[in-house]
Amino acid sequence: MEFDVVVVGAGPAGSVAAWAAAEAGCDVLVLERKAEVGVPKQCAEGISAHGLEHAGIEPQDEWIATEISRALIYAPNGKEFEVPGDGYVLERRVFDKWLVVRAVEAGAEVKLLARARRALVDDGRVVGVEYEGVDGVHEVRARVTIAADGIESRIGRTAGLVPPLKPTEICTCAQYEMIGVDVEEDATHFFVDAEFFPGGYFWIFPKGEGRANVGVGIRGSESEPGDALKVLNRALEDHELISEAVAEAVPVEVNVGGVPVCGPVGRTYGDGILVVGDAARQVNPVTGGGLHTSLVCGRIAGEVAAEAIEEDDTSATFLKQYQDQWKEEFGRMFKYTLKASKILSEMSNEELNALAEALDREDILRLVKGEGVVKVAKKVIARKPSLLKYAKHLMK
Amino acid sequence: MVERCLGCAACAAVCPKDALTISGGKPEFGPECDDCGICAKVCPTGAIEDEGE
Ligand SMILES: Cc1cc2nc3c(=O)[nH]c(=O)nc-3n(C[C@H](O)[C@H](O)[C@H](O)COP(=O)(O)OP(=O)(O)OC[C@H]3O[C@@H](n4cnc5c(N)ncnc54)[C@H](O)[C@@H]3O)c2cc1C
Ligand code: SF4
Ligand code: SF4
Repeated sequence: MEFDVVVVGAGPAGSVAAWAAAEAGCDVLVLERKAEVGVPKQCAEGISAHGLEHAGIEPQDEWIATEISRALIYAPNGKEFEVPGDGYVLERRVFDKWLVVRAVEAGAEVKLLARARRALVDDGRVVGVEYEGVDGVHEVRARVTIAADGIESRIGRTAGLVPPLKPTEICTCAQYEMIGVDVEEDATHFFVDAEFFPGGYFWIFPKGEGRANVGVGIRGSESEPGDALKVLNRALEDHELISEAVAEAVPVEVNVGGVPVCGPVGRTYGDGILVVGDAARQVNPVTGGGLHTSLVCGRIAGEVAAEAIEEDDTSATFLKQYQDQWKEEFGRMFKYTLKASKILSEMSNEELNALAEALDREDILRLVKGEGVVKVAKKVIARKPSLLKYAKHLMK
Repeated sequence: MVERCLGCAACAAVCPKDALTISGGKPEFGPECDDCGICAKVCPTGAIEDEGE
C-alpha cells in the first residue's frame, strides 16, 4: 500500500491533520487501533471558545454539552477566584467522530482496529509504518508519516523523536462522569490542594442538567499503583467542597488517562515524519489541556505535509516549517506555563494559600495563558516576600 | 477480580525500556521488561499491580 500521507491515531490531532492534508489534495490513510473513534473518552472535555476559533472550527450543537463563561479556582483554604472566559464542555465521543468524518469527507481513508507497531525507517528516513490489522500485519508506505498516536506514541518513539515520560512528567488521572452533581453550571471548577492532589488538581466540568465530569490528576512521581482512582474516591468522600457538590451524585462512567506535563518534545519533525498532539507533548502543563493545541498543531501538520508533497521535498529541512509554525502560535505559552507548572507542583498548601492572597483573577488568567508572567511575579514578591524563591524562577 | 485495565496507555508512555505495548486494550509486557515498576506507579486504576500478583 502506498499513500501520500499516513496518519497514526484518529484523536483530534490526527483527524484534523488528515482533514487538512486531504483537503489540500493528498491521498491520506488514517490508522486507528480502537474499535470506535472517541471511545472510551479520556478527557474532561473542556475547551476555550478562543481555542476552537483559533483552530478554525465552528462550534456545532451536536457536540457541545454546555457553554461556560468563567472558571472558578479554589485555593486549599477555600478562597475562590473567578476567572472570566468563554468556553465549552464538549461531548468528545461525538466531537472526535465529527472530526474524523470531516477528514473522510475531504477524501481520507480510515482503518479501525489497525494498530501501528513501528515506524519503517530506511536509511534514517521514515517511509511509513508497519501495522497490525484484523487480517494480519501489513506495511504501508507514505511520503509523510504523521504520528498523532497520543501519549504512548509508539511511532514517535520508534522514529527516535519521542522519549519515554519520566514519572515527574506525567499526571495520572481518573474521572467519573456523574449525574446529580450540584455546582454552578456556567463555570468550570478547579480545586487546588498540594496534600490532596499532589502535583495536579481536581476538576468538576459541568455538562448540563446535573451531569458533570468529576476527576483528578496527580503527578506520576507522587503516585503509587492505583492512586488516581483512590484519590478520586477519597476526595468525593472527604474534601469539604467536593463532597458537598457530589453528595447526591451517581457515576455513570469511569475514565482514566495520562497527561504529559513536560512541554513539547525538542524535535517534532524528521525526514518523512511529523509528530503532533499528545504524542509531541503539545499540552499546556498548567491546565493539562491539550485540545486547543492538538487541533491547531494538527492543522499545521496536515498543511505542511501537503506542501511538502506538492514541492516534492519531504526532508526534515522542509518539514521543519511545521515546528516553526506551531512555535509561532504556542512557543511563548509553553515556555511560561512550563515554569508556572513546575513552581505550582512544588508549593505547599501554606504557600499556595499565600499565593492566592497575593494574586487577583487577572493575574491567574495571565499565568494560565503564559502572558505577562514577569509582571505577575513582581507583584507576588511585593505582596508575599516568602514566595521570592518561586517568583524568581518565573522571571528567568 | 474485576478487569481494571482501561487501555489508557499511561503505563506504556513511561516505560523506559519500551517493553510495554497496548494491545487489545491491555498492557503486554515484552522481554525487555526489567520489573522497575514505573508503569505500575502511574497506572490510574492499579491494574498492573494485579498482573504482578
Ligand atoms: C483525564 C483527562 C482529562 C483531560 N481533560 C482535558 C480537558 O478538559 N481539556 C483539554 O483540552 N484536554 C484535556 N485532556 C487532554 C486531551 O484529552 C488530549 O490532549 C487530547 O486528546 C490529545 O489529542 P491527540 O489527538 O493528540 O491524542 P488522543 O486523543 O489520545 O488520540 C490518539 C489516538 O491515537 C490512537 N493510537 C495510539 N497509538 C496507536 C497506534 N499504535 N496505532 C493506531 N492508533 C493508535 C489512540 O487510540 C487514539 O485514538 C485530558 C486528558 C485526560 C487524560
Ligand atoms: S495498565 Fe493501567 S496505565 Fe496501563 S493501559 Fe491499563 S489502565 Fe492504563
Ligand atoms: S516494569 Fe519497568 S521495564 Fe517493565 S514494563 Fe513496567 S516500566 Fe517497563
